[in-house]
Amino acid sequence: MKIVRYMLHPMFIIFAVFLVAPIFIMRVGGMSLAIEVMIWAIFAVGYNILLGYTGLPSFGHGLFFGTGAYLCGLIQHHLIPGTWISILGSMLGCSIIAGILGFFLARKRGIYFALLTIAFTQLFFFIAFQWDSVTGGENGLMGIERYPLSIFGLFRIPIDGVLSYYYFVYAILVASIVVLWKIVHSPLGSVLYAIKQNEVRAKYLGYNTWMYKWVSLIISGLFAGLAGALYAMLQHGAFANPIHWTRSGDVVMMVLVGGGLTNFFGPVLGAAIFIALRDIVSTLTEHWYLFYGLLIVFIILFLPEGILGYLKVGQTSRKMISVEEKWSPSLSGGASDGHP
Amino acid sequence: MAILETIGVEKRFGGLTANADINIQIEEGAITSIIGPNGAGKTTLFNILTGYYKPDRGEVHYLGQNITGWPVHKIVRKGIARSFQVLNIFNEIPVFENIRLAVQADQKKGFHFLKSTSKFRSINERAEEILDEIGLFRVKDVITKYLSYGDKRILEIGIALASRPRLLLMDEPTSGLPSSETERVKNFIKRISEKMTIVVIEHDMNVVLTISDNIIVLHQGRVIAQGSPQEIKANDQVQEAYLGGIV
Repeated sequence: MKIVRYMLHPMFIIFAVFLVAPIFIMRVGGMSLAIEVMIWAIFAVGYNILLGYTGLPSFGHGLFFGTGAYLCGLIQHHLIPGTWISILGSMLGCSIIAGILGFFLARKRGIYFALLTIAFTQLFFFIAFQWDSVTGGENGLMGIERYPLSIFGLFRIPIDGVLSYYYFVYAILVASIVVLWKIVHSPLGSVLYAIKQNEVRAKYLGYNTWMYKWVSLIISGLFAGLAGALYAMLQHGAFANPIHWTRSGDVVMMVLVGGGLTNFFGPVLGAAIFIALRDIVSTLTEHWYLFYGLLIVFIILFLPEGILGYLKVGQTSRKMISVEEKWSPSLSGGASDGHP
Repeated sequence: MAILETIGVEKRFGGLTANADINIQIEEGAITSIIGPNGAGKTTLFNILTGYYKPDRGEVHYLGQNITGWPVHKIVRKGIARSFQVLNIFNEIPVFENIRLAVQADQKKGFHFLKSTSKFRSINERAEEILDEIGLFRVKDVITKYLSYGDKRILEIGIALASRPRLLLMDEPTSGLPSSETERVKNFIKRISEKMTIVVIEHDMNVVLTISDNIIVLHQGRVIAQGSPQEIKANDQVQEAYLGGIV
């Protein structure tokens, strides 16, 4: 019985699907798309800590994804050519940048927070685009390699093949999801969700909410940096494009489409839908964003909790929406913004 | 001895003076009521005492320490807790989680990030104890927004209690309650007052006159009288400004 429950858990299903997916994908082609889905899933699930659980709408998280990609390349070119070091360096670098920007961001909320994230991502976009000598400017930073993995200097596992890289990214996806799941269900996660619901009350419990929001920014920045580095290795290059604010919106939409704002696994589905649509529809028309936009309008109007929310899949114990919500009258009266 | 003292506190919002020259002393162990008509500046004063607002002038001293301008969370950790007039609880999570979050803050475990909240036994046990004390154990797994209004008011106070305050500020704890429920809250305040100092903003004169050791009367941002219930009842200025001869 217990085993069945584990096997029906969305986490298990996601891990199982991605584990066996290559068997089918290898026949029809599109392995690099599948890798891309996993990379965006890492990005989006991490980003959801900020958007869904802390309630901070960043529209500039492409900044960390793009910067992670550049850092990966810069570390390989100028420091040490190695896979682990360039990935860990990107994560560290992006969390430091998130920490610095967080000093300004964590004091803001709502629309001011959102606008400031857009301003920052545009700032980074222009730097990346203009600074030819470091970032390669318009041409991008090329020559990013997938060096063989060295495990304690004992084994060397090559990951330059598409299948080996797939399973490398898969392992990182599994680890990322497990860590983020633990964060969401930890005391830290509970405080972040409390801040989202009612920041004033959280302060009155004695939580230094500024510091928690800052940590939330760092966590999401760290996973964005990780995803960015993996993306750079997939593409063998880093580009300014993902940093642009219009592309920074992609990850927001993945979260919304997949599972609204409070579904832990929604972003994984959202990433898959985004990549699949982009690939399929863009072969039919170059205006594929138009169709994606229509999908988003439909989901926001009719499925505000995203596709998984609609299917009632993977709602964490912290949320526990019941069907009652549809009809049960709210007695609380407009107390939710929490101002005394 | 005064647990809390204000010296010449003043707060302005644009042209409006919400608090002017407030000099009060809250006696430790007592129940002090703050009364006054709407707009007298009672809630503003609570916001200043708890660090939500910084006063434009004047100082707040708590246990002999100047806490003026401290952030809210720091003041709370020093032992001042507060409940709100407009319900201010976490609506989307179970009742238990509301209390658990407060206990978790009190035990300073908020930054643990890899262990599940269910594994912190001392937090969970303490949260259940508090739920038992305030009589909400039976609804602990209900999503908070589905609680009855009376239970929500009790939860509002319960969250404040979970931080083990030495001084509890309650902003209209009986607001919106029917008289039977008001009685329940009144007895509850009486009961917890044995363990802590209480300051309560209240409109219900029946409650004020029966529970208070001291009463402070605010009118247009100023303290116009303070004293025991008998003294306040006998005060002509208070009668005129606020009570309107009702009592």
